[in-house]
Amino acid sequence: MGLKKSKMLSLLFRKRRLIQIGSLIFLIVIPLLNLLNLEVVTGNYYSLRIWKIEFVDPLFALQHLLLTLKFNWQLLMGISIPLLIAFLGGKLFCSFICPYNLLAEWLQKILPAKKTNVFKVNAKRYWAVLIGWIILTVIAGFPILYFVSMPGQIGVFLGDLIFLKVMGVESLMILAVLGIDVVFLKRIWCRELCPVGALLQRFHWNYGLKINYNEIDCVCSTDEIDSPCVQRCPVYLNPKSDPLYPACFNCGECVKECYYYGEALKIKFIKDITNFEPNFKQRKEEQTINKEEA
Amino acid sequence: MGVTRREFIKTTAAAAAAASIGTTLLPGGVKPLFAENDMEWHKSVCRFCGVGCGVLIGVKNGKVAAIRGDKFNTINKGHLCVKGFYLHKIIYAKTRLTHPMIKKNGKFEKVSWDEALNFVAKKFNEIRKAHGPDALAFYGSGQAETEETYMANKLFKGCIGTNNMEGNPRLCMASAVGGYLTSFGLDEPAGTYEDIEQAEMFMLIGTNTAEAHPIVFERIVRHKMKNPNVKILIIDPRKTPTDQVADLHLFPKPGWDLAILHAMARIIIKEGYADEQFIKDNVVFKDNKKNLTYEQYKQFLEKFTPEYASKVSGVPVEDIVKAARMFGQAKTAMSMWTMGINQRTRGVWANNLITNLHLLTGKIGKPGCDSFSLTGQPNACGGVREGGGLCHLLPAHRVVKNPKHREEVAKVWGVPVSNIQPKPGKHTVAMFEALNKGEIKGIYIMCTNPAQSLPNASKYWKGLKEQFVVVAESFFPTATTKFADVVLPAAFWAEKEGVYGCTERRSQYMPKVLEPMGEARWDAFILRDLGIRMGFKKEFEKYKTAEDIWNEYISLTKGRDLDLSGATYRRLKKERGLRWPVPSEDHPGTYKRYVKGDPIFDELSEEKKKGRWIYFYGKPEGKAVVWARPDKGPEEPTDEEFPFALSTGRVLEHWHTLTMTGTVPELNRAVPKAYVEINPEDAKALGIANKDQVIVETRRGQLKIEARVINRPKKGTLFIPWHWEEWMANILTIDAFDPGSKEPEYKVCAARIRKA
Amino acid sequence: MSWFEKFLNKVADYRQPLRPPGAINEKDFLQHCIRCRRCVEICPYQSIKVVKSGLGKKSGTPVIIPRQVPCYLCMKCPPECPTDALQPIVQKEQVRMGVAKINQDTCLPYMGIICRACYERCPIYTEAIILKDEIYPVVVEEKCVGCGICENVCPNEEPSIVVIKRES
Repeated sequence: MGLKKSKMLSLLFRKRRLIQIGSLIFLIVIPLLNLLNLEVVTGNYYSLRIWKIEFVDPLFALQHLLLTLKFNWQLLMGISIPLLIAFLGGKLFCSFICPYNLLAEWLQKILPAKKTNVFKVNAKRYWAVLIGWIILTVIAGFPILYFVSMPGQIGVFLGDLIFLKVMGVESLMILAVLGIDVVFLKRIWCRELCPVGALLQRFHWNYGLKINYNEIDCVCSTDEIDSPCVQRCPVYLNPKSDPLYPACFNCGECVKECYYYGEALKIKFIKDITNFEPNFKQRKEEQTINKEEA
Repeated sequence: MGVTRREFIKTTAAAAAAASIGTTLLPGGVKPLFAENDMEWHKSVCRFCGVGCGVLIGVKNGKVAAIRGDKFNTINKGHLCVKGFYLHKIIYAKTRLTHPMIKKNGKFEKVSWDEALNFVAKKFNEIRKAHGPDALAFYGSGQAETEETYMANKLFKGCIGTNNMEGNPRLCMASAVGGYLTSFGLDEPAGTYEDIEQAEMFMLIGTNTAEAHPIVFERIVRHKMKNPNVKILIIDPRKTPTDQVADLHLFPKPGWDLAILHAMARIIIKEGYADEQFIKDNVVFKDNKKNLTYEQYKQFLEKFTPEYASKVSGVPVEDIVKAARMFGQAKTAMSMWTMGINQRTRGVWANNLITNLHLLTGKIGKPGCDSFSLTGQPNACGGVREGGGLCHLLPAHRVVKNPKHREEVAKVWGVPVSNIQPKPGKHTVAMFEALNKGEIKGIYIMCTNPAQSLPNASKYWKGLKEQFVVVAESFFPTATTKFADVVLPAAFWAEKEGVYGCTERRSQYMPKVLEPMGEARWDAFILRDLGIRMGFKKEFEKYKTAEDIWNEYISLTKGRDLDLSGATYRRLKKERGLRWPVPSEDHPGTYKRYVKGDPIFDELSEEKKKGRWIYFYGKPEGKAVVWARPDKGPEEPTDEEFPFALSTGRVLEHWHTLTMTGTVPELNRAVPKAYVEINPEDAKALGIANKDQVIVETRRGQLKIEARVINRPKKGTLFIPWHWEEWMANILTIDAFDPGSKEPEYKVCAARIRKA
Repeated sequence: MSWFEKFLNKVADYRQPLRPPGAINEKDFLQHCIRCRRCVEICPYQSIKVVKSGLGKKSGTPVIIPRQVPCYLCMKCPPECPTDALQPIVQKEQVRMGVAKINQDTCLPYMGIICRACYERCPIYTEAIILKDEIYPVVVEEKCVGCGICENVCPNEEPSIVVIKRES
């Protein structure tokens, strides 16, 4: 049983790019189907209906709640599946579904930035940004995060273009964020600023799917930048460092890379939280001591 | 342009305020729209339906810029319908044909007039030589001017020598002609529109007056508004916009209304509403074979109890009784009908039965009393019925069978009398059938679109495709030009002068205010030049102006029942039309026929009249005929396989095959596409929702069309407006025709419908 | 007409946008609507367009521009809305999107031209638009649903009947 699950997981992560592309194509297919009056699916990643199953971006459910101070059962039902996924797998939405991430990853390939440094994750700053966004919504008095929710914006851009044949100025937000983020700011948007991912991460279970680093198996140098896993990470994190969360979106690229080196990185459900203490720092200290001793 | 919504609210409020304090907005009054000073206005006639509204053409800088109702025309008194209002836009339509074209290797190529006419003349002469004159045919129109039809008549019947000379009024008016001829002995109604304002009761049967003849409807409505005791009875299988003013509406099953009319006659006689003195003096009775006595007629009617009529037609008994009493009790009554009666395999009979009611109650010949057939085309009465544009007619209500008539006409035409064949030619359906079979090798189609307007249209495309087809049209492309070998650009309304004769026997003059667009030429002169090129130089070269043709035509009407000799161009240009008989230039025209004031009645000798106030001089002893016609249903009744009765008709905003109204964006906006009206109950049973695509099928074809679920057609009936080429309703209609009038039964056929 | 005028007209048109059937009042609507376009996509007639006004408050909200395509009241959009911005209405007669106003200065029947385009196509047939004296169209404001079919079909160059948002 356990084997089966891990096999499935590994298959899922190996096919990540395919799923991402599929997700983008899905956004194009929805308006096309609706043009033919086939009403199987409607919407985009703000809110989606597949047959009779509803999906709603939790961020928009939250905005709705804050703006209207009313509970809406339909919305609550709609966020249940996204939240369940977030609970078990963290920001899997970002790594697998979000079309913005796909575009950003492609753009990264075209314009590879020099790896100069690796970012440390600051959890307090991370959550503060989310709270900032929410306060902005309340002040604005309308769902202003509509403009900065990239997956939704890309969805409505495609939808409006295909279904209504119109384009709007607000779609320039996508280009602006994409350009600045990838070219100048090293994916800070996905790593720290994006409210959609942040809210999903808020629901990530401590025992959910996480990147697990086993230093005993690690064959690479302790160098923060030269490690293959670090080189591979789309959001410039160091999987060997702590803490990886809340910034990591579980794309599994580092795990795939590590497969060729020593399988020190694994993505799996954490059984015991105490086991999951990457003692990279400790090891580094030990090394320093060893050096000194030598 | 560019009023924001807020500003608009302000203007609306202002208008509402103005209205409430009494500055009423006068209908037909001069509105900002017409307030242009440098506009030059010319009196003319509307190009659309047979009502014959007077219009003023506003010309500015050599272009027609506006159309306005003519306040001094007694027909419409300044009012117009929305089609007429946009008439000027049609002149400048993108689809105007501006140069002659010959089809070479399947493609139309621009050619000169000389080349086109020489080609047609050569082709026609070859066909005539090889296959005889009857291998040629002409198909004209109730929209062509009287002068144009007259020229075609002369060329084909008089010069080429074939009676295959028809017109589309065969498809709309022939049954009314048959009805009037059999009942009164002479074609066209006795009364005029003036009767509307004096009638106490209207029977509208088989007509959607509100949409097909809006101005007549408007007059009825205004009359009823002023006189609330005026009663309106409607007999129609469909609830039409006309229905809004109805006091009583009978919904017969399509094609089953003859029994109702008989039952009404029976009640009228039984309950003493009949004018026995009038019947004694002025009426004879007949059935299909022999003369009857009054008693025998009563005996014949015994079968038509209200219960029987109710069983046949599906109308409740009490409604039939109410309708009969309504007709009987009213002091004056006017009945009006159009295609619902005419386009039937028993159209002539239905016409007779309506007239019967008037003859039995004596409601004819008096002010406010008439059996009044409404015409669908602007010059069906003037050009084709009076001008003799059908295969059995000659100008001025003459027939080809009559040797005296042939002689009179041949003399004026300047052709040997032997040229005019005594045998009627092929009527419309037979003509296109013969085209299919190859019996007719060449046809000249003028000002009409038979490829779309013929019943069971797709059947007749074969002949049009195979034979030599010349189409003279103002617009290109149309459904018919697709099959043409030669297309000739014809001048449009306002680019030519001529006379239109409307429903109420009124002939009105239309001036030429513009030069024809491009190389377009007047149809009558195209025919003249074609005639000359075919070798009839002597017969045709004398016509230099429209007036020449008109003068020759009115000389033929001298002494006939439609005497137009007083209606010269000089007079017509001044006056708003004249109603014949107009025997001399100082005669004011005739309000009512067969009674005092009608010059023909006045001239009758006293011993003939014997003191009678009405004399139907078309019949022996001046007695009109009450016909005991058997009742009969439609040619193709509904059955299990095809359970719906399909009917076609018009909408207010469009006209005929859209060659004109389809070019006006404003009218297309109002009704952009065809639809099939279906009763909500039927729709529910078949799972059809409003605006669904459905397939309507008959034994002749099928049509994919949008459904309009609306409580208008009776349960079990469907209705399609027939204007669109893309959704061609005539693919479905049946081409069975009335044996008397040869008019096809467009209005009833069996169909089925399903969701696409 | 210059492009600038066109642009201004477009902006003016959006000033009081007509919302899809079942929409709550404008102020709440802007808060409830999450701009997800599901009503736009479910509409079989493409009646529902999207406000494209940059980063404004109304940007991304659904709107009906009757002169382009009116609402045919198929009532598919209210149940599609994931929030309560569109209240689920089933009966078309209950819709109160707006109210039609007739400009008697330009309306053809008031000028003596017979025209029944709006009256004939009104989905609340013979109730929401009536013909005074069987000639002059008059809007019965209590019955009018504001679908805009009348504005769409008006055969005047500039519509003489315009649907204005109801102020509730």
